[in-house]
Amino acid sequence: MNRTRLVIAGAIVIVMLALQWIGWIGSTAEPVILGIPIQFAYFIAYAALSAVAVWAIFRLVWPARHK
Amino acid sequence: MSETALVLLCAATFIVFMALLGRAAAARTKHDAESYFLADRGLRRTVLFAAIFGTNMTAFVMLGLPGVAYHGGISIWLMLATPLLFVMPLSFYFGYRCWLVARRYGYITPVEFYRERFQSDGLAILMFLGFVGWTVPYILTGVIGGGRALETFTDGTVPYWVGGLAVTLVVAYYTWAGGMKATAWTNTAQTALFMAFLLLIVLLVPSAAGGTERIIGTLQREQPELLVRSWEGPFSLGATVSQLILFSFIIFAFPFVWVRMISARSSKDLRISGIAYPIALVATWAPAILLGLWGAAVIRGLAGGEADSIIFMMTAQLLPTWVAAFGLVALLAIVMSSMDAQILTLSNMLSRDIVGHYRSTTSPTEQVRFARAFVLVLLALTYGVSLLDMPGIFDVAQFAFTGFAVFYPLLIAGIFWRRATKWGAIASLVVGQTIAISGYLEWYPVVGGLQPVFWGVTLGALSLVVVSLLTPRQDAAADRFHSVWNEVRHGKPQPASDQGK
Repeated sequence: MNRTRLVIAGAIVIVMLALQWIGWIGSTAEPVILGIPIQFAYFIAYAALSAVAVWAIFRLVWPARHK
Repeated sequence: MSETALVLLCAATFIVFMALLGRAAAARTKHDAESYFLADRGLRRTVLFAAIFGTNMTAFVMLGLPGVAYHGGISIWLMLATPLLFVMPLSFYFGYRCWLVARRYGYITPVEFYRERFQSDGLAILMFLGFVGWTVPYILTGVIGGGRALETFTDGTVPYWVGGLAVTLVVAYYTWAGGMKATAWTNTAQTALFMAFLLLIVLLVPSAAGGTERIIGTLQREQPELLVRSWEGPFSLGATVSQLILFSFIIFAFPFVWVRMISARSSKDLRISGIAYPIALVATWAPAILLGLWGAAVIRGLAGGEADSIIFMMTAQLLPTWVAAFGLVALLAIVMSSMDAQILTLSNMLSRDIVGHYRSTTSPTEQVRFARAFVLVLLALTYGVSLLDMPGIFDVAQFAFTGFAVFYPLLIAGIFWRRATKWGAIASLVVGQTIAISGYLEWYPVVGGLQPVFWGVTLGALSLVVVSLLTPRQDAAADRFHSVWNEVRHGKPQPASDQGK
Protein backbone atom coordinates (compact mmCIF):
# COMPACT_ATOMS: atom_id res chain seq x y z
CA MET A 1 0.00 0.00 0.00
CA ASN A 2 1.21 3.49 -0.85
CA ARG A 3 2.95 5.05 2.17
CA THR A 4 1.55 8.51 1.41
CA ARG A 5 -1.99 7.16 1.54
CA LEU A 6 -1.32 5.58 4.91
CA VAL A 7 0.14 8.82 6.28
CA ILE A 8 -2.90 10.83 5.12
CA ALA A 9 -5.27 8.24 6.61
CA GLY A 10 -3.32 8.40 9.90
CA ALA A 11 -3.53 12.20 9.86
CA ILE A 12 -7.31 12.04 9.47
CA VAL A 13 -7.52 9.68 12.46
CA ILE A 14 -5.44 12.05 14.59
CA VAL A 15 -7.51 15.08 13.57
CA MET A 16 -10.74 13.26 14.43
CA LEU A 17 -9.41 12.25 17.84
CA ALA A 18 -8.23 15.81 18.47
CA LEU A 19 -11.64 17.20 17.52
CA GLN A 20 -13.16 14.94 20.13
CA TRP A 21 -11.00 16.48 22.85
CA ILE A 22 -11.64 20.01 21.58
CA GLY A 23 -15.34 19.32 22.04
CA TRP A 24 -14.77 18.78 25.75
CA ILE A 25 -12.92 22.05 26.34
CA GLY A 26 -14.91 24.57 28.34
CA SER A 27 -17.14 21.93 29.85
CA THR A 28 -18.12 24.15 32.78
CA ALA A 29 -20.48 26.25 30.61
CA GLU A 30 -23.85 24.97 29.54
CA PRO A 31 -25.18 27.07 26.63
CA VAL A 32 -28.15 25.53 24.83
CA ILE A 33 -29.25 25.73 21.19
CA LEU A 34 -32.88 24.79 20.41
CA GLY A 35 -33.11 22.72 23.58
CA ILE A 36 -29.89 20.85 22.85
CA PRO A 37 -26.82 21.45 25.04
CA ILE A 38 -24.01 22.96 22.97
CA GLN A 39 -21.57 20.12 23.60
CA PHE A 40 -24.19 17.60 22.58
CA ALA A 41 -24.88 19.58 19.38
CA TYR A 42 -21.13 19.63 18.68
CA PHE A 43 -21.04 15.85 18.72
CA ILE A 44 -24.05 15.58 16.45
CA ALA A 45 -22.10 17.63 13.91
CA TYR A 46 -19.14 15.35 14.65
CA ALA A 47 -21.21 12.43 13.32
CA ALA A 48 -21.58 14.12 9.93
CA LEU A 49 -17.87 14.81 9.91
CA SER A 50 -17.23 11.18 10.90
CA ALA A 51 -19.10 9.91 7.86
CA VAL A 52 -16.91 12.11 5.63
CA ALA A 53 -13.73 11.08 7.47
CA VAL A 54 -14.59 7.36 7.28
CA TRP A 55 -15.35 7.74 3.57
CA ALA A 56 -11.96 9.43 3.05
CA ILE A 57 -10.10 6.75 4.99
CA PHE A 58 -11.85 3.99 3.07
CA ARG A 59 -10.87 5.68 -0.20
CA LEU A 60 -7.27 5.80 0.96
CA VAL A 61 -6.83 2.29 2.38
CA TRP A 62 -9.56 0.26 0.67
CA PRO A 63 -8.34 -0.62 -2.83
CA ALA A 64 -10.50 0.26 -5.83
CA ARG A 65 -12.54 -2.71 -7.03
CA HIS A 66 -11.65 -2.70 -10.70
CA LYS A 67 -7.90 -2.32 -10.62
CA MET B 1 -61.51 0.93 21.39
CA SER B 2 -59.82 0.67 24.80
CA GLU B 3 -56.16 1.60 25.22
CA THR B 4 -55.18 -1.99 25.97
CA ALA B 5 -57.05 -3.29 22.94
CA LEU B 6 -55.27 -0.78 20.68
CA VAL B 7 -51.89 -1.73 22.11
CA LEU B 8 -52.65 -5.43 21.67
CA LEU B 9 -53.86 -4.90 18.11
CA CYS B 10 -50.66 -3.06 17.17
CA ALA B 11 -48.46 -5.71 18.78
CA ALA B 12 -50.38 -8.53 17.08
CA THR B 13 -50.18 -6.77 13.69
CA PHE B 14 -46.44 -6.34 14.09
CA ILE B 15 -45.93 -9.98 15.03
CA VAL B 16 -47.99 -11.21 12.07
CA PHE B 17 -46.06 -8.85 9.75
CA MET B 18 -42.76 -10.28 10.96
CA ALA B 19 -44.00 -13.84 10.43
CA LEU B 20 -45.15 -12.98 6.89
CA LEU B 21 -41.80 -11.37 6.07
CA GLY B 22 -40.09 -14.53 7.33
CA ARG B 23 -42.36 -16.65 5.19
CA ALA B 24 -41.63 -14.56 2.09
CA ALA B 25 -37.89 -14.83 2.73
CA ALA B 26 -38.17 -18.59 3.30
CA ALA B 27 -39.75 -18.98 -0.14
CA ARG B 28 -36.57 -17.47 -1.61
CA THR B 29 -34.14 -19.45 0.53
CA LYS B 30 -32.63 -22.66 -0.79
CA HIS B 31 -31.68 -25.60 1.41
CA ASP B 32 -27.92 -25.23 1.08
CA ALA B 33 -25.59 -23.72 3.67
CA GLU B 34 -24.65 -20.55 1.75
CA SER B 35 -28.29 -19.71 1.20
CA TYR B 36 -29.55 -20.40 4.70
CA PHE B 37 -26.59 -19.06 6.68
CA LEU B 38 -25.48 -16.19 4.43
CA ALA B 39 -28.44 -15.33 2.19
CA ASP B 40 -26.33 -16.53 -0.79
CA ARG B 41 -23.74 -13.87 0.16
CA GLY B 42 -26.11 -11.42 -1.46
CA LEU B 43 -27.11 -8.77 1.10
CA ARG B 44 -27.15 -5.32 -0.48
CA ARG B 45 -27.14 -1.68 0.60
CA THR B 46 -30.11 -0.96 2.87
CA VAL B 47 -30.75 -4.55 3.86
CA LEU B 48 -27.09 -5.19 4.66
CA PHE B 49 -26.84 -2.00 6.67
CA ALA B 50 -30.08 -2.63 8.57
CA ALA B 51 -29.06 -6.24 9.24
CA ILE B 52 -25.83 -5.04 10.86
CA PHE B 53 -27.16 -1.91 12.55
CA GLY B 54 -30.40 -3.52 13.76
CA THR B 55 -28.48 -6.43 15.23
CA ASN B 56 -26.17 -4.06 17.05
CA MET B 57 -28.98 -1.96 18.55
CA THR B 58 -30.50 -3.67 21.57
CA ALA B 59 -33.25 -2.77 24.03
CA PHE B 60 -30.53 -0.87 25.94
CA VAL B 61 -31.04 2.03 23.48
CA MET B 62 -34.64 2.54 24.61
CA LEU B 63 -34.44 1.37 28.19
CA GLY B 64 -30.90 1.70 29.58
CA LEU B 65 -29.53 4.70 27.72
CA PRO B 66 -32.32 7.19 28.55
CA GLY B 67 -31.98 6.14 32.19
CA VAL B 68 -28.26 6.92 32.14
CA ALA B 69 -28.96 10.33 30.56
CA TYR B 70 -31.71 10.98 33.13
CA HIS B 71 -29.23 10.57 35.99
CA GLY B 72 -25.95 11.54 34.32
CA GLY B 73 -26.92 14.02 31.59
CA ILE B 74 -25.10 14.30 28.28
CA SER B 75 -21.81 12.84 29.57
CA ILE B 76 -22.59 9.31 28.38
CA TRP B 77 -22.89 10.53 24.78
CA LEU B 78 -19.75 12.64 24.87
CA MET B 79 -17.80 9.78 26.41
CA LEU B 80 -18.85 7.36 23.67
CA ALA B 81 -18.80 9.71 20.68
CA THR B 82 -15.33 8.88 19.39
CA PRO B 83 -15.58 5.10 19.46
CA LEU B 84 -19.15 4.96 18.25
CA LEU B 85 -19.10 7.65 15.60
CA PHE B 86 -15.61 7.49 14.23
CA VAL B 87 -13.54 4.50 15.30
CA MET B 88 -16.22 1.79 15.23
CA PRO B 89 -17.17 2.34 11.55
CA LEU B 90 -13.56 1.49 10.65
CA SER B 91 -14.47 -2.09 11.63
CA PHE B 92 -16.11 -2.37 8.24
CA TYR B 93 -12.64 -2.36 6.71
CA PHE B 94 -11.72 -5.33 8.89
CA GLY B 95 -14.96 -6.92 7.74
CA TYR B 96 -13.93 -6.30 4.14
CA ARG B 97 -10.69 -8.27 4.61
CA CYS B 98 -12.66 -11.15 6.14
CA TRP B 99 -15.25 -10.87 3.37
CA LEU B 100 -12.58 -11.32 0.68
CA VAL B 101 -11.10 -14.45 2.26
CA ALA B 102 -14.43 -15.96 3.33
CA ARG B 103 -15.71 -15.59 -0.21
CA ARG B 104 -12.60 -17.11 -1.74
CA TYR B 105 -12.50 -20.17 0.52
CA GLY B 106 -16.20 -20.52 1.37
CA TYR B 107 -15.99 -19.78 5.09
CA ILE B 108 -19.23 -19.12 6.92
CA THR B 109 -18.42 -18.59 10.61
CA PRO B 110 -15.69 -16.64 12.42
CA VAL B 111 -14.65 -19.82 14.25
CA GLU B 112 -14.10 -21.59 10.93
CA PHE B 113 -12.23 -18.57 9.54
CA TYR B 114 -9.77 -18.33 12.43
CA ARG B 115 -9.41 -22.11 12.73
CA GLU B 116 -8.06 -22.10 9.19
CA ARG B 117 -5.97 -18.97 9.68
CA PHE B 118 -4.24 -20.42 12.77
CA GLN B 119 -4.62 -24.10 11.86
CA SER B 120 -5.85 -24.95 15.34
CA ASP B 121 -8.86 -26.95 16.50
CA GLY B 122 -8.05 -26.01 20.10
CA LEU B 123 -8.30 -22.30 19.35
CA ALA B 124 -11.55 -22.92 17.46
CA ILE B 125 -13.08 -24.69 20.47
CA LEU B 126 -12.03 -21.85 22.80
CA MET B 127 -13.47 -19.26 20.44
CA PHE B 128 -16.68 -21.21 20.12
CA LEU B 129 -17.08 -21.49 23.89
CA GLY B 130 -16.31 -17.80 24.38
CA PHE B 131 -18.75 -16.66 21.70
CA VAL B 132 -21.51 -18.95 22.97
CA GLY B 133 -20.91 -18.06 26.62
CA TRP B 134 -21.26 -14.32 26.03
CA THR B 135 -24.10 -14.55 23.49
CA VAL B 136 -26.51 -16.68 25.51
CA PRO B 137 -27.14 -14.06 28.27
CA TYR B 138 -27.79 -11.55 25.51
CA ILE B 139 -30.51 -13.68 23.93
CA LEU B 140 -32.00 -14.30 27.34
CA THR B 141 -32.39 -10.59 28.02
CA GLY B 142 -34.22 -10.25 24.71
CA VAL B 143 -36.85 -12.81 25.71
CA ILE B 144 -37.17 -11.29 29.20
CA GLY B 145 -37.37 -7.74 27.77
CA GLY B 146 -40.05 -8.72 25.25
CA GLY B 147 -42.14 -10.48 27.93
CA ARG B 148 -41.88 -7.58 30.35
CA ALA B 149 -42.71 -5.01 27.66
CA LEU B 150 -45.89 -6.78 26.60
CA GLU B 151 -46.95 -7.25 30.23
CA THR B 152 -46.34 -3.58 31.14
CA PHE B 153 -47.90 -2.04 28.05
CA THR B 154 -51.08 -4.11 28.34
CA ASP B 155 -51.40 -3.51 32.09
CA GLY B 156 -50.96 -7.22 32.77
CA THR B 157 -53.57 -8.39 30.26
CA VAL B 158 -50.75 -10.26 28.54
CA PRO B 159 -48.82 -11.98 31.34
CA TYR B 160 -45.04 -12.13 31.25
CA TRP B 161 -44.92 -15.79 30.24
CA VAL B 162 -47.28 -15.23 27.29
CA GLY B 163 -45.39 -12.13 26.12
CA GLY B 164 -42.04 -13.90 26.25
CA LEU B 165 -43.54 -16.90 24.46
CA ALA B 166 -45.00 -14.72 21.69
CA VAL B 167 -41.65 -13.04 21.06
CA THR B 168 -39.82 -16.39 21.16
CA LEU B 169 -42.26 -18.08 18.80
CA VAL B 170 -42.22 -15.40 16.13
CA VAL B 171 -38.42 -15.13 16.18
CA ALA B 172 -38.18 -18.93 16.10
CA TYR B 173 -40.52 -19.12 13.12
CA TYR B 174 -38.87 -16.63 10.82
CA THR B 175 -35.31 -17.60 11.78
CA TRP B 176 -36.07 -21.31 11.36
CA ALA B 177 -37.85 -20.79 8.07
CA GLY B 178 -35.76 -18.20 6.24
CA GLY B 179 -32.35 -18.12 7.95
CA MET B 180 -30.17 -15.12 7.15
CA LYS B 181 -32.46 -13.71 4.47
CA ALA B 182 -35.44 -13.71 6.83
CA THR B 183 -33.51 -12.11 9.68
CA ALA B 184 -32.06 -9.48 7.31
CA TRP B 185 -35.46 -8.59 5.89
CA THR B 186 -37.13 -8.44 9.28
CA ASN B 187 -34.19 -6.42 10.64
CA THR B 188 -34.76 -3.86 7.88
CA ALA B 189 -38.39 -3.40 8.89
CA GLN B 190 -37.51 -3.45 12.60
CA THR B 191 -34.75 -0.86 12.21
CA ALA B 192 -37.09 1.45 10.29
CA LEU B 193 -39.72 1.08 13.03
CA PHE B 194 -37.56 1.78 16.07
CA MET B 195 -35.76 4.68 14.38
CA ALA B 196 -39.08 6.17 13.25
CA PHE B 197 -40.48 5.92 16.77
CA LEU B 198 -37.50 7.65 18.37
CA LEU B 199 -37.46 10.42 15.77
CA LEU B 200 -41.22 10.89 16.16
CA ILE B 201 -41.29 11.24 19.92
CA VAL B 202 -38.22 13.45 20.09
CA LEU B 203 -40.35 15.89 18.10
CA LEU B 204 -43.65 15.30 19.92
CA VAL B 205 -42.51 15.25 23.55
CA PRO B 206 -41.09 18.81 23.73
CA SER B 207 -44.23 20.39 22.26
CA ALA B 208 -46.43 18.36 24.62
CA ALA B 209 -44.25 19.36 27.59
CA GLY B 210 -44.30 23.10 26.92
CA GLY B 211 -41.34 23.48 24.59
CA THR B 212 -37.62 22.78 24.77
CA GLU B 213 -36.83 26.23 26.21
CA ARG B 214 -39.03 25.56 29.19
CA ILE B 215 -37.61 22.06 29.71
CA ILE B 216 -34.01 23.21 29.43
CA GLY B 217 -34.72 26.28 31.57
CA THR B 218 -35.81 23.94 34.35
CA LEU B 219 -32.65 21.89 33.97
CA GLN B 220 -30.41 24.97 33.96
CA ARG B 221 -31.99 26.15 37.20
CA GLU B 222 -32.23 22.86 39.02
CA GLN B 223 -29.73 20.37 37.52
CA PRO B 224 -27.17 22.31 35.45
CA GLU B 225 -24.64 19.52 35.95
CA LEU B 226 -26.65 17.37 33.48
CA LEU B 227 -25.85 19.78 30.65
CA VAL B 228 -22.07 19.52 30.79
CA ARG B 229 -19.52 16.78 30.39
CA SER B 230 -18.70 15.31 33.78
CA TRP B 231 -15.26 13.88 34.54
CA GLU B 232 -16.30 12.15 37.75
CA GLY B 233 -17.26 8.57 38.64
CA PRO B 234 -18.42 6.56 35.62
CA PHE B 235 -17.29 9.37 33.28
CA SER B 236 -13.73 9.69 34.62
CA LEU B 237 -10.68 9.71 32.34
CA GLY B 238 -9.92 6.06 33.14
CA ALA B 239 -13.50 5.09 32.36
CA THR B 240 -13.37 7.13 29.13
CA VAL B 241 -10.22 5.31 27.97
CA SER B 242 -11.79 1.97 28.90
CA GLN B 243 -14.97 2.76 26.97
CA LEU B 244 -12.91 3.91 23.99
CA ILE B 245 -11.31 0.48 23.88
CA LEU B 246 -14.55 -1.33 24.63
CA PHE B 247 -16.57 0.22 21.82
CA SER B 248 -13.85 0.79 19.23
CA PHE B 249 -14.21 -2.45 17.30
CA ILE B 250 -16.96 -4.22 19.20
CA ILE B 251 -19.09 -4.86 16.11
CA PHE B 252 -16.19 -6.74 14.56
CA ALA B 253 -15.93 -8.91 17.68
CA PHE B 254 -19.62 -9.83 17.67
CA PRO B 255 -19.87 -13.14 15.79
CA PHE B 256 -23.45 -12.30 14.80
CA VAL B 257 -22.26 -9.08 13.10
CA TRP B 258 -19.16 -10.72 11.58
CA VAL B 259 -21.39 -13.24 9.79
CA ARG B 260 -23.54 -10.43 8.41
CA MET B 261 -20.50 -8.57 7.14
CA ILE B 262 -19.33 -11.55 5.11
CA SER B 263 -22.87 -11.88 3.71
CA ALA B 264 -22.40 -8.62 1.76
CA ARG B 265 -22.95 -8.89 -1.96
CA SER B 266 -20.10 -6.54 -2.80
CA SER B 267 -17.35 -4.66 -1.02
CA LYS B 268 -19.04 -1.42 -2.04
CA ASP B 269 -22.15 -2.37 -0.07
CA LEU B 270 -19.97 -2.98 2.96
CA ARG B 271 -18.19 0.34 2.52
CA ILE B 272 -21.48 2.23 2.30
CA SER B 273 -22.64 0.59 5.54
CA GLY B 274 -19.52 1.88 7.30
CA ILE B 275 -20.08 5.43 6.08
CA ALA B 276 -23.78 5.41 7.00
CA TYR B 277 -23.11 4.03 10.47
CA PRO B 278 -22.35 7.33 12.32
CA ILE B 279 -25.39 9.07 10.85
CA ALA B 280 -27.75 6.24 11.76
CA LEU B 281 -26.26 6.05 15.23
CA VAL B 282 -26.94 9.72 15.85
CA ALA B 283 -30.49 9.32 14.53
CA THR B 284 -31.00 6.53 17.09
CA TRP B 285 -28.93 7.48 20.13
CA ALA B 286 -29.38 11.25 20.12
CA PRO B 287 -33.18 11.06 20.54
CA ALA B 288 -32.81 8.41 23.26
CA ILE B 289 -30.33 10.55 25.23
CA LEU B 290 -32.19 13.84 24.68
CA LEU B 291 -35.43 12.24 25.86
CA GLY B 292 -33.68 10.91 28.97
CA LEU B 293 -32.22 14.37 29.60
CA TRP B 294 -35.52 16.18 29.06
CA GLY B 295 -37.23 13.52 31.20
CA ALA B 296 -35.21 14.70 34.18
CA ALA B 297 -37.14 17.97 33.96
CA VAL B 298 -40.54 16.56 32.92
CA ILE B 299 -40.88 13.68 35.40
CA ARG B 300 -38.70 14.39 38.39
CA GLY B 301 -37.51 12.28 41.26
CA LEU B 302 -37.13 8.85 39.64
CA ALA B 303 -34.61 6.70 41.48
CA GLY B 304 -32.16 4.16 40.01
CA GLY B 305 -33.62 1.76 37.46
CA GLU B 306 -37.02 3.49 37.50
CA ALA B 307 -35.61 6.03 35.05
CA ASP B 308 -34.84 3.32 32.48
CA SER B 309 -38.46 3.53 31.28
CA ILE B 310 -38.49 7.34 31.11
CA ILE B 311 -39.25 7.39 27.37
CA PHE B 312 -42.33 5.25 27.81
CA MET B 313 -43.42 7.13 30.94
CA MET B 314 -43.36 10.42 29.03
CA THR B 315 -45.10 8.80 26.07
CA ALA B 316 -47.90 7.51 28.30
CA GLN B 317 -48.21 10.77 30.23
CA LEU B 318 -47.96 13.30 27.40
CA LEU B 319 -48.93 11.66 24.12
CA PRO B 320 -51.96 9.86 22.59
CA THR B 321 -52.45 6.12 23.06
CA TRP B 322 -51.48 5.29 19.49
CA VAL B 323 -48.00 6.65 20.17
CA ALA B 324 -47.70 4.38 23.22
CA ALA B 325 -48.78 1.45 21.05
CA PHE B 326 -46.16 2.45 18.48
CA GLY B 327 -43.67 2.52 21.36
CA LEU B 328 -44.39 -1.10 22.20
CA VAL B 329 -43.95 -2.10 18.56
CA ALA B 330 -40.64 -0.20 18.45
CA LEU B 331 -39.45 -1.90 21.63
CA LEU B 332 -40.40 -5.35 20.32
CA ALA B 333 -38.66 -4.48 17.04
CA ILE B 334 -35.39 -3.52 18.70
CA VAL B 335 -35.49 -6.63 20.92
CA MET B 336 -36.16 -9.02 18.03
CA SER B 337 -33.62 -7.40 15.69
CA SER B 338 -30.81 -8.55 17.98
CA MET B 339 -32.28 -11.86 19.14
CA ASP B 340 -32.79 -13.35 15.70
CA ALA B 341 -29.23 -12.67 14.55
CA GLN B 342 -27.77 -14.04 17.76
CA ILE B 343 -29.80 -17.24 17.70
CA LEU B 344 -29.09 -17.81 13.99
CA THR B 345 -25.35 -17.35 14.50
CA LEU B 346 -25.25 -19.69 17.50
CA SER B 347 -27.10 -22.36 15.50
CA ASN B 348 -24.83 -21.69 12.56
CA MET B 349 -21.68 -22.19 14.68
CA LEU B 350 -23.07 -25.30 16.40
CA SER B 351 -23.97 -26.81 13.08
CA ARG B 352 -20.83 -25.85 11.09
CA ASP B 353 -18.10 -25.72 13.71
CA ILE B 354 -19.14 -28.63 15.88
CA VAL B 355 -21.42 -31.03 13.97
CA GLY B 356 -20.05 -30.28 10.50
CA HIS B 357 -16.40 -30.28 11.57
CA TYR B 358 -16.38 -33.31 13.87
CA ARG B 359 -18.90 -35.40 11.94
CA SER B 360 -17.27 -35.32 8.55
CA THR B 361 -20.08 -37.19 6.81
CA THR B 362 -22.49 -34.27 7.38
CA SER B 363 -23.41 -32.67 4.05
CA PRO B 364 -24.10 -28.92 3.76
CA THR B 365 -27.82 -29.67 3.40
CA GLU B 366 -27.72 -31.71 6.60
CA GLN B 367 -25.90 -28.84 8.32
CA VAL B 368 -28.84 -26.59 7.47
CA ARG B 369 -31.20 -29.21 8.88
CA PHE B 370 -29.17 -29.35 12.09
CA ALA B 371 -29.05 -25.56 12.30
CA ARG B 372 -32.82 -25.30 11.95
CA ALA B 373 -33.26 -27.84 14.73
CA PHE B 374 -30.76 -25.91 16.89
CA VAL B 375 -32.72 -22.67 16.36
CA LEU B 376 -35.80 -24.30 17.85
CA VAL B 377 -33.97 -26.14 20.65
CA LEU B 378 -31.91 -23.11 21.71
CA LEU B 379 -34.92 -20.80 21.73
CA ALA B 380 -36.96 -23.36 23.70
CA LEU B 381 -34.15 -23.60 26.27
CA THR B 382 -33.79 -19.83 26.39
CA TYR B 383 -37.50 -19.38 26.92
CA GLY B 384 -37.48 -21.99 29.71
CA VAL B 385 -34.60 -20.24 31.48
CA SER B 386 -36.30 -16.85 31.03
CA LEU B 387 -39.14 -18.10 33.25
CA LEU B 388 -36.71 -18.57 36.13
CA ASP B 389 -36.01 -15.65 38.40
CA MET B 390 -32.45 -14.66 37.43
CA PRO B 391 -31.85 -11.11 38.68
CA GLY B 392 -28.15 -11.09 37.69
CA ILE B 393 -28.71 -11.90 34.03
CA PHE B 394 -28.86 -8.26 32.87
CA ASP B 395 -25.54 -7.56 34.57
CA VAL B 396 -23.97 -10.52 32.77
CA ALA B 397 -25.42 -9.38 29.43
CA GLN B 398 -24.10 -5.86 29.98
CA PHE B 399 -20.70 -7.26 30.88
CA ALA B 400 -20.75 -9.44 27.74
CA PHE B 401 -19.30 -6.50 25.78
CA THR B 402 -16.08 -6.93 27.75
CA GLY B 403 -16.12 -10.67 27.04
CA PHE B 404 -16.37 -10.00 23.30
CA ALA B 405 -13.87 -7.11 23.35
CA VAL B 406 -11.04 -9.27 24.67
CA PHE B 407 -11.23 -11.16 21.35
CA TYR B 408 -9.84 -8.03 19.60
CA PRO B 409 -6.13 -8.96 19.67
CA LEU B 410 -6.56 -12.33 18.01
CA LEU B 411 -9.29 -11.19 15.60
CA ILE B 412 -7.27 -8.21 14.38
CA ALA B 413 -3.84 -9.89 14.42
CA GLY B 414 -5.33 -12.78 12.44
CA ILE B 415 -6.09 -10.51 9.49
CA PHE B 416 -3.14 -8.09 9.68
CA TRP B 417 -0.10 -9.75 11.26
CA ARG B 418 1.53 -12.64 9.41
CA ARG B 419 3.71 -13.53 12.39
CA ALA B 420 0.74 -14.20 14.70
CA THR B 421 0.65 -17.88 15.67
CA LYS B 422 -1.93 -20.21 17.13
CA TRP B 423 -0.13 -20.28 20.48
CA GLY B 424 -0.14 -16.49 20.59
CA ALA B 425 -3.84 -16.45 19.74
CA ILE B 426 -4.65 -19.06 22.40
CA ALA B 427 -2.59 -17.21 25.01
CA SER B 428 -4.33 -13.95 24.16
CA LEU B 429 -7.76 -15.52 24.46
CA VAL B 430 -7.03 -17.32 27.73
CA VAL B 431 -5.44 -14.25 29.34
CA GLY B 432 -8.14 -11.90 28.07
CA GLN B 433 -11.05 -14.08 29.14
CA THR B 434 -9.49 -14.79 32.54
CA ILE B 435 -9.05 -11.07 33.19
CA ALA B 436 -12.57 -10.32 31.93
CA ILE B 437 -14.27 -12.97 34.06
CA SER B 438 -12.25 -12.23 37.19
CA GLY B 439 -12.99 -8.51 36.66
CA TYR B 440 -16.69 -9.25 36.52
CA LEU B 441 -16.35 -11.21 39.77
CA GLU B 442 -14.46 -8.19 41.21
CA TRP B 443 -11.41 -10.26 42.11
CA TYR B 444 -9.17 -7.23 41.56
CA PRO B 445 -9.72 -3.53 42.26
CA VAL B 446 -10.47 -0.81 39.69
CA VAL B 447 -7.39 1.42 39.53
CA GLY B 448 -7.68 4.94 38.11
CA GLY B 449 -11.11 4.18 36.68
CA LEU B 450 -9.58 1.64 34.26
CA GLN B 451 -12.10 -1.14 33.77
CA PRO B 452 -11.47 -4.89 33.13
CA VAL B 453 -11.71 -4.35 29.37
CA PHE B 454 -8.59 -2.16 29.45
CA TRP B 455 -6.52 -4.84 31.19
CA GLY B 456 -8.06 -7.69 29.21
CA VAL B 457 -7.34 -6.15 25.79
CA THR B 458 -3.89 -4.72 26.56
CA LEU B 459 -2.56 -7.79 28.38
CA GLY B 460 -4.24 -10.06 25.82
CA ALA B 461 -2.50 -8.15 23.01
CA LEU B 462 0.82 -8.31 24.84
CA SER B 463 0.44 -12.07 25.34
CA LEU B 464 -0.34 -12.53 21.66
CA VAL B 465 2.76 -10.65 20.54
CA VAL B 466 5.18 -12.22 23.02
CA VAL B 467 3.97 -15.81 22.64
CA SER B 468 3.75 -15.51 18.84
CA LEU B 469 7.35 -14.33 18.65
CA LEU B 470 8.47 -17.21 20.88
CA THR B 471 6.66 -19.95 18.93
CA PRO B 472 7.22 -21.35 15.42
CA ARG B 473 5.97 -19.32 12.48
CA GLN B 474 2.87 -20.46 10.55
CA ASP B 475 3.86 -19.03 7.21
CA ALA B 476 1.85 -21.40 5.03
CA ALA B 477 -1.42 -20.68 6.84
CA ALA B 478 -0.74 -16.93 6.92
CA ASP B 479 0.24 -16.85 3.24
CA ARG B 480 -2.99 -18.53 2.24
CA PHE B 481 -4.92 -15.57 3.67
CA HIS B 482 -2.50 -12.76 2.89
CA SER B 483 -2.20 -13.85 -0.73
CA VAL B 484 -5.88 -12.95 -1.18
CA TRP B 485 -5.38 -9.46 0.25
CA ASN B 486 -2.15 -8.98 -1.71
CA GLU B 487 -3.92 -9.83 -4.95
CA VAL B 488 -6.37 -7.02 -4.35
CA ARG B 489 -3.73 -4.60 -3.16
CA HIS B 490 -1.49 -5.23 -6.17
CA GLY B 491 -4.26 -4.89 -8.67
CA LYS B 492 -4.89 -8.49 -9.61
CA PRO B 493 -8.49 -9.59 -10.16
CA GLN B 494 -10.75 -9.86 -7.12
CA PRO B 495 -13.13 -12.76 -6.59
CA ALA B 496 -15.33 -13.07 -9.63
CA SER B 497 -18.43 -12.43 -7.60
CA ASP B 498 -17.29 -8.86 -6.81
CA GLN B 499 -16.65 -7.89 -10.38
CA GLY B 500 -19.10 -5.78 -12.25
CA LYS B 501 -21.07 -4.80 -9.14
